[in-house]
Amino acid sequence: MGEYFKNIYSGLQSFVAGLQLSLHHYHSRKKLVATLQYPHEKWPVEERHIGFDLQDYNVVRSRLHVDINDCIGCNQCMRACPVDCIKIESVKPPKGSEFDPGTTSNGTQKRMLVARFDIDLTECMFCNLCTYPCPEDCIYMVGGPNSAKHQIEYEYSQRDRKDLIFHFANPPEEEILAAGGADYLAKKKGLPVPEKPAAGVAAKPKSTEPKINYTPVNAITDRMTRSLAKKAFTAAVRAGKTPSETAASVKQALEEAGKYTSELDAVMESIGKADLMTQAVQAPETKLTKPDQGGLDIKLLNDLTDRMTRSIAKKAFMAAVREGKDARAVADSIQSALQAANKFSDEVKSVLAKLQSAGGASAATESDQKPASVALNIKVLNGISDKMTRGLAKKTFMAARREGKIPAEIVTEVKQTLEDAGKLTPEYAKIIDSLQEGT
Amino acid sequence: MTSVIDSMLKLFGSPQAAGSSAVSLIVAVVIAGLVVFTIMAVMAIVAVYFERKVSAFMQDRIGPMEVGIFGFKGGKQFWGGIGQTLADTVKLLVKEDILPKEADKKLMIMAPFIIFIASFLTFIGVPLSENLVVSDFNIGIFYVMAAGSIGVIGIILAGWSSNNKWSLYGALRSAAQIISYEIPIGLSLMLVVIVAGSLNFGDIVAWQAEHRWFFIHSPFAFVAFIIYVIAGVAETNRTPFDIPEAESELVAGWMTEYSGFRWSIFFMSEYANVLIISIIASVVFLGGWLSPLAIFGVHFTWLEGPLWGLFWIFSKAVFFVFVMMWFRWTFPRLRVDQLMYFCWKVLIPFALANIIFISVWELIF
Repeated sequence: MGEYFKNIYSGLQSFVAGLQLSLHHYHSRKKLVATLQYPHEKWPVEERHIGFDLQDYNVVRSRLHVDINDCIGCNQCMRACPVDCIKIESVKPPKGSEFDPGTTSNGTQKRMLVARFDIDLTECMFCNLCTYPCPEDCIYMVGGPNSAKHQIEYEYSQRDRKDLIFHFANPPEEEILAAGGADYLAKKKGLPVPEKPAAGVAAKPKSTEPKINYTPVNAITDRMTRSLAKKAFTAAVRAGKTPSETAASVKQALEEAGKYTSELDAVMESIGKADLMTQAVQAPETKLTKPDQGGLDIKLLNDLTDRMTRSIAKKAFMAAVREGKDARAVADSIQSALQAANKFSDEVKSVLAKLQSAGGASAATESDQKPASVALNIKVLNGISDKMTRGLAKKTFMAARREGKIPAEIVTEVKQTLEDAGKLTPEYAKIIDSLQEGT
Repeated sequence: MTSVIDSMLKLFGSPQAAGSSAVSLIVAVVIAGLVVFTIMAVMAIVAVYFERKVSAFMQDRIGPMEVGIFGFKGGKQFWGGIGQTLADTVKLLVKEDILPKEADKKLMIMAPFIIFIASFLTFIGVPLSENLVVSDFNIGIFYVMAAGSIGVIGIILAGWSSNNKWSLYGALRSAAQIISYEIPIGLSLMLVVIVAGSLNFGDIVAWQAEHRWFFIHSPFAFVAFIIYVIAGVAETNRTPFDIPEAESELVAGWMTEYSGFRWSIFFMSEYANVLIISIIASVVFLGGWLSPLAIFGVHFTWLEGPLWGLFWIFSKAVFFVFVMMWFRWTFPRLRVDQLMYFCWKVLIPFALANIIFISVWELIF
């Protein structure tokens, strides 16, 4: 019985104690409430670190930011991006234009107006690869080592997915027009680009890249046969076969397809005799030396054994060349950069001497050279009505173009892919053929 | 004390025509029914919001804060998410109507309405102010106790017809619990009846106006008051006595297979029962519609009258509703055997002893 009342007493005690506790929390809720109403309020953000002394690690999970005033529109970040999430469009003022795009904070004279600089952060994978090539250090991950330039951001969330595409460059239309970007604006708005005589633009010189000579194969009249023959021909030439071997392999391919007729003997013969390349595969090194390097060869710097030293030297080299310095000045700037980094050594000295002597000889010649294969217009493929087919065709087209193939080859390849996928109809074949006609 | 129905009948009806009196009876019943229904619905909506806020504050949260009414949001404090339960109501009412394939469909559809009818009928005898009661029975307390017990039939039907083990467990537990806890409630109310000498709410309040409020009437009356509140919480199936629902054991007990509109009826009845228990507690033990200032001998004539009575009775009821929520968010759920122990071995003996002692007390004083 005593136990019973003791139980009731202790029950009452804990009853009252419990009620007191919850009432205390109810009354002092202003002090105790722990909820943070997230979209409206945010905790102050702390710098991230991974717990040991590796400051650079800080940049990895941050957001890309561009100081657009420092951007010279060199497109290096765009090219570096592995997922193609950066899109840059720039307008180059025509020669003799009064327009001044300004200078960067490093003092570099800008050559063009960056009309569009979009980063699609839905695609960005935060690899940081775009920040290294930037000559002006204007694209970087916010926070961490760059927190002086841009504070780290709390989060990168947006209400709308569209808003995750950051438009860093927003020059007013007048500015684009002043920079001679009338064509650009018209294109952007979807208006027809005004026809212009080619006077202002230098005629595009032919590519120095060696081309496969298709003249003998083009003599085949039947379209199917021709495409098969071309394919085998290309493969054989790529494999470095001699003309007669090439002819044999083409013949074999056609026989396998049941397309070989005696009429083709003459063609095979001509293949056996012809030059396979319009230009021989001579000295590809000359091609790699970019003309805008003022005749200086950056490859000379590859003689530097230390990796760090080499990269600093190359960076300085590029910067100096871009500023239009001559060989001597380039060597000087490399030297000062390396000295600043405390990497200057006798080895560097000898390399720089070589650089000066090599560069001094050749004069800087400027010319715009582009591979001719890009002349095909992918928009022609928009005529394909089926979405799947169109996508496949475009994909193949892009892949082929990236490999630097010539128009005829691209057409063949696109057709072949569609045929393999069982999507090729005569109608589509015509559209794809018109790719080549358009050029 | 006259009831609303009677006064409405007097208002509408002319004693000459027998036909018109039948019409006016129907009109009076419909109006009273609509009023009761509105009170139940509004109570459910307001109480859910109240409950969410109270629980949030007791747990160092802030509760619903995003939904306002027509753009009105009450800032960071209590009224922050004032539209939340309205939005929830709309959501509940437009939900898909689901009946399990193997369920006993007729019973399953019927069960929510039986529960609803129980709390609806109970409301008829519950006074809301002086002379403001739908029907004034001279056995008011007895009627309210009896009508309130009907709900357990609906609970058992719901649990059985769902054809689900959780539902059935919940229903059986609920039946056991509600039937058990009606005894201490009845015994503690009987103490008041013994003292006041009437089962009528009006007479009980009149007794309190003449003498003193029941919870300070005597130590035994105070104990009876405590027993009533605790057993009342158990009667409404709320935590810490919510073993029929017992989320962590039985999913949702007898409500497991219900959703949407039917479930919202359960919810409405549950909160209506909370309000009924609170109003009866305030009428029987806290002086009903009497102003609390009267305890201190202060009498303002302008503080009396039916509207002030309504205000006082609801203030007291809201206090009890808060106490029930306070219990709910303070104590963990009892085990089944603890629940039965508490009822049969603690509450009932004390309530019985109370009755003996109060009888002796009445004989002495």
